[in-house]
Amino acid sequence: MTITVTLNLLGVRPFQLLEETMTFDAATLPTLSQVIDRVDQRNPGFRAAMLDDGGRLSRQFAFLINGMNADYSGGITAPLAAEDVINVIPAIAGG
Amino acid sequence: MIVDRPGSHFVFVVPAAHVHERYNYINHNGQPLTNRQYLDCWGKWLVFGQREELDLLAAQLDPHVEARRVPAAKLDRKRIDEFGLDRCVMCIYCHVEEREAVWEILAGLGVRDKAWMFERETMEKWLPGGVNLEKWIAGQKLDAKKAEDLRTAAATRFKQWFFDEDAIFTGIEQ
Repeated sequence: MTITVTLNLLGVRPFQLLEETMTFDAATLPTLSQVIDRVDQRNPGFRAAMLDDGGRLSRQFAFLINGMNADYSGGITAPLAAEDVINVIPAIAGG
Repeated sequence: MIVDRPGSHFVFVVPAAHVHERYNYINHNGQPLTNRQYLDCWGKWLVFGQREELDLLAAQLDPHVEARRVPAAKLDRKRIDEFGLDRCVMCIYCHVEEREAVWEILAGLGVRDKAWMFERETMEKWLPGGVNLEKWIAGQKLDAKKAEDLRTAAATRFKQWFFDEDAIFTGIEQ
C-alpha cells in the first residue's frame, strides 16, 4: 500500500513551476527531509537550496504542511501522512 | 470597503466602520486583543497571485469583511521584485480560532493553496538576525555602522510596540 504527498512551490524562484505529487510506502511514513531528497534526485541543487548550512530548513522560505508552519511539527524531520500537501513560500511573503 | 491609497504599498479590504467609526477589526468575539494576544493569536492566510487575480478576490471578500465573517485583508499593489517574489501576496487576517472558518470562505472563492502565518512569525523576520531584515540590509549595501543602526532601530520599534503585553494592541502604521 502506498500514500501520496504533494510538494508545491509558490513564488519560489527558480523553482516556481514545480508542483509534484509523489508516492511513498505507507508502512514507513516519510518525513519532510525525504520529500526534499526525492525532488532533489530529479532537480539537483534543490536540497541545497531548501536547507541551510546546518541541514535545517532554510530561513529563506516558510515550509507549510497542510497550511501550517512545519517548524511546529518537527521541521526537517516533520512526519507526513497520506494526502499531505507541503507548500513552500518565500520568507518575504506575508510582510 | 476597499481602501486604495496610491501612496501605500498595500490595498486594504476593511470594514467601512473601521474607516468611518474607528471600529477595531483586530478582535476576538468583539474583544480587542492585547499585545500578547496579538502576537500569539493573530495571523493571516497568504494567497499568491497576479494583481488582477487578487483584485478580484478582494472584491469577492469585501462583503464578507463588511459582514465581519472575515476581519480584514490587504494585498500588494505591485510585485516585490527586489525580494525575488514573482507574484503579489494577499494577507487575509483573522484570529487563530477563526482561521478554519475563514479558510472555508477562501476555499469557496476558489483559493486552493493553504499558507497560514502568525503575526509573530512575520515580526521575527524583521528583527535583528531575522531573514527579511538581514536580506534587506544586504540589498542596501550599507556600511556596518548603518546596518547596526537599522538593527537597533528595528529592535527598539518592536519593544515600543509590545513592551506592555497586557495593553490593547493599537496597530502598526503601514
